[in-house]
Amino acid sequence: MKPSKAEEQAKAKAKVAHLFADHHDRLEAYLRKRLANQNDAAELAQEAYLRILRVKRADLIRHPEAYLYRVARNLVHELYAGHRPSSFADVDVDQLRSGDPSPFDQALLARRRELVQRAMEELSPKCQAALLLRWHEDLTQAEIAERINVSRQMVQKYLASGIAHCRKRLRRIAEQERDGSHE
Amino acid sequence: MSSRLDRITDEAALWFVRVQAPEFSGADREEFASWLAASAEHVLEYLSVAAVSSEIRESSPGMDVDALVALARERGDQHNVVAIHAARPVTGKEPRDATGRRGRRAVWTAAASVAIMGLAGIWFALTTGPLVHTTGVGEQAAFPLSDGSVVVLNTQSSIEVDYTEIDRTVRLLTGEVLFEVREDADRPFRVLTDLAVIRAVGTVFNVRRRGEATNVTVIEGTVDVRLIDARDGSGSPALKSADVAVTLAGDAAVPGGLRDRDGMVRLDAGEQARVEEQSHEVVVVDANTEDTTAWRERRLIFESQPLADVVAEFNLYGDRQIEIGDSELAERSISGSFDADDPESFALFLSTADLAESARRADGTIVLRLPREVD
Repeated sequence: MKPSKAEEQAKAKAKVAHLFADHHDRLEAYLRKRLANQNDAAELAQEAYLRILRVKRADLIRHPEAYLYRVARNLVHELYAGHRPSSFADVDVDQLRSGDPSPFDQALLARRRELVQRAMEELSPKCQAALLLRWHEDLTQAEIAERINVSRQMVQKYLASGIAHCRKRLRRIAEQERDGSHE
Repeated sequence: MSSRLDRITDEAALWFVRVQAPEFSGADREEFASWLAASAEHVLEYLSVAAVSSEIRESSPGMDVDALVALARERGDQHNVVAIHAARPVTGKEPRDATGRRGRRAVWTAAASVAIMGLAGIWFALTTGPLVHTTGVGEQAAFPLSDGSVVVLNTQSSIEVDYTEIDRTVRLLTGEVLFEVREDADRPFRVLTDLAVIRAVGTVFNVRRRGEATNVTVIEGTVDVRLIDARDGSGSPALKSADVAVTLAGDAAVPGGLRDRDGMVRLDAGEQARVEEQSHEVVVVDANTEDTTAWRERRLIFESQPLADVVAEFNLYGDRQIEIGDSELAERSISGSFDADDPESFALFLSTADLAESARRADGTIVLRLPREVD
């Protein structure tokens, strides 16, 4: 009807896609930075949790993961809007906005990567292969099953136990660093 | 000491993996939601596990996947030798080179998306042009929209979502929908039925379009309801005039296809506007907002409503249909609160209250008849 409508829509879509990609990076940077530090992570989770409780139960059930991420996204959003809660006062907003981590953060993230890599090397070849195929090569669970010749259920088991192992390693090390006397 | 935390980590990891599997069902989601809502530690572990997956994306440039795969296949577990030949999804995937590896850039792009994968799917699905959501018999479903608003569809309902840069339009094609609108001053939110335009700002309201009326009930906030005058525009069909409203309706200006200001009604929380097709007028009444949204709990609440309407409502929810066998019954007044999925109990209620007797046909249909005279 209107000649420019398709064009307008395409433009709007492109803009939204761009906005989203932008947002993605920020949330990603934010989450990783926050979660690298146990105390910050606990605070973020606490806040996210309180908000999750406020989501209507039926809605949460429909898309639990999406809601969790939306809550996390909103937390990030608040930082940019300047309504940041005092508990996040230490966040360097400019750096987050530029998506350019400080040398300190870079070192922190590099160390995390290294620790995860080392933790992965402790796993069986199948488990390692599954993790890499899933998150490095971006294969679906079905594709991984075919590739390493195991059932879909086993793929899920490898992925879950592998990622849990890495997470536990990271937590142990963080705990040890926090209080040398632990355990 | 950390065995409890370890257990939570295991659970979080399993959920993280299961959520991404295609067979993740409604019951699974319910269980997952309960798990998330159980404690902040669960939330923390889930987010942490998601973050670890992004570390994996960026780690291990030295590890050779193909060698690992070869090793993994070689040591194939005896109890699991059946290869599953799943079709490779082709849409939106970048081509791989001979080794099956994607470019570094692609990996990076993928890395950026890991933490909010679930959101990504929903976001993109909802921002690529008009989108239709439909529920079947007895089905109810909630859909988050890209702006943070949420729509909840009752049984046998259908909407079309059309978000653009300048406005947000949802067309209620049929049925009943609860809207929870996220405020956005720059992009007005409108709901269109073939009878009315409903405009909302950061509010919660229920719109029902069944039979010959549109009902709008405001739970929170304020909405404007404006009639669409289908009689303008050379007797064009009603839905077409709704289309005109989509493309022309500016914020303040009322286009020719709509009635002027006198056709607009402002509703506050607890008010209901009924737009009748016949009279083409808006009647505002006080509403019980809890009753209006009781359908979300699959409760049907009636207050002095004709049996014909009550039966029609029940019939929207289930395969077991109710039929009125004696036309005299149609106007009988019914009040009560019923389980939408249990028409049998409703029939029992009718006979106990001596309002109607019921019989079953071979196909299971419940037929209501006048109660026999007791001499």
